[in-house]
Amino acid sequence: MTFAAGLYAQNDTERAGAKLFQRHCASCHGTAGGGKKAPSLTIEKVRTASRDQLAEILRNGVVGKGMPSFARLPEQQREQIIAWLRRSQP
Amino acid sequence: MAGCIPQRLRSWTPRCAWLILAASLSSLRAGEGPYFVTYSHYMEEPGNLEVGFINSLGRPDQGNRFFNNLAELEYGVKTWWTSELYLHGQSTRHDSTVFTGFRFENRFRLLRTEHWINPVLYVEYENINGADRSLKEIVGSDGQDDLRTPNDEARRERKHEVEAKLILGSSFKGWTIAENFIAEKNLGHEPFEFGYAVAVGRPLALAARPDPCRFCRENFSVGLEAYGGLGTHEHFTPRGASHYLAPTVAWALPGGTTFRVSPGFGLTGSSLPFLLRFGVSYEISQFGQKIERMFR
Repeated sequence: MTFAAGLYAQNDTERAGAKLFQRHCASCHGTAGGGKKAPSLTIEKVRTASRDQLAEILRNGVVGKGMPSFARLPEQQREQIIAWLRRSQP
Repeated sequence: MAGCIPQRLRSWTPRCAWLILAASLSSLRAGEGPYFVTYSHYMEEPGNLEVGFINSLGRPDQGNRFFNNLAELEYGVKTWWTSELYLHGQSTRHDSTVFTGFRFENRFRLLRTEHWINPVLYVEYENINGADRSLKEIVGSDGQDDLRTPNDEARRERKHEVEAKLILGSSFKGWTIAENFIAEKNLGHEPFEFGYAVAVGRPLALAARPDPCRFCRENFSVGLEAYGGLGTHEHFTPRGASHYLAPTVAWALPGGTTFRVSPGFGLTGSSLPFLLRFGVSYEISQFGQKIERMFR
């Protein structure tokens, strides 16, 4: 299963999340989330992460590893990104 | 072309043309928000370079109209460290166009995670002359009297100043709230001067639309900032200083360009009656990496 942005987004929330991912995350994590300067988001650890775990990372960033905080995005937009990241979870 | 331009404007055209051209080129501003004076606690993304121009237009009472331009380069050094370089210039009607100096800023985020209140330490060195009209911050008893001096006389005054700000920022239900406390010292035996800037802002829509869009509400932010002087360490008071209230609007396009505008209203007799600020910025993602690759 590919992780291409927008592909398999099943509802408006996931499509919005895909759009936000392209705008804010793809430059580091790759257009399809496969990794670039930053780690791949298709790995098992990310794909099975809980909503709360992903929310924590987006809000605080990972300062020691170069990921900035995305607290500047409204919480609703962070939730949309999380919905798209988790959309392929069982 | 010259025949189409009224005589009284022709003398302006050559002097202002480069400034207007510069203002029409892309990008800018620091602090990640719709504000021009207040800094929020948000840092520039590491490796990203934001390039832009901030412009201000004003006229002191019984003085000449001026147009000030700041060219800005803002770079995310680390997730917790952002650096900025500003180049200053201004053009005053019936006077001249002058380069007025530069400033170098650094902001350091002090806490690793988000909290109710997030502190950021700001330190700056500026080397400008007395003709500067940027009003980038208001400290001490800065007022419109300082803006009436002819450029030729004003530029002879050199100012080497260091400044520190305590930036406090919060995010709450889509609102960004920022407070800045400013302390500035002219290294030439002047007293410490103090000032403040506070702001609130919010996007027009908190959730994004599913389809790509340019004019949708999520791309617009509005805010309100207030800033002014607080006197010196010898006489700490807001009285006699200039104070401003300024609504702000920002429009962020998906490709990294942001437009900003803010009409500022002077609240005291020493304030400019009106100050219009506007600017454009463009963010270059992963600029640091691109430069690194060029030298490998």
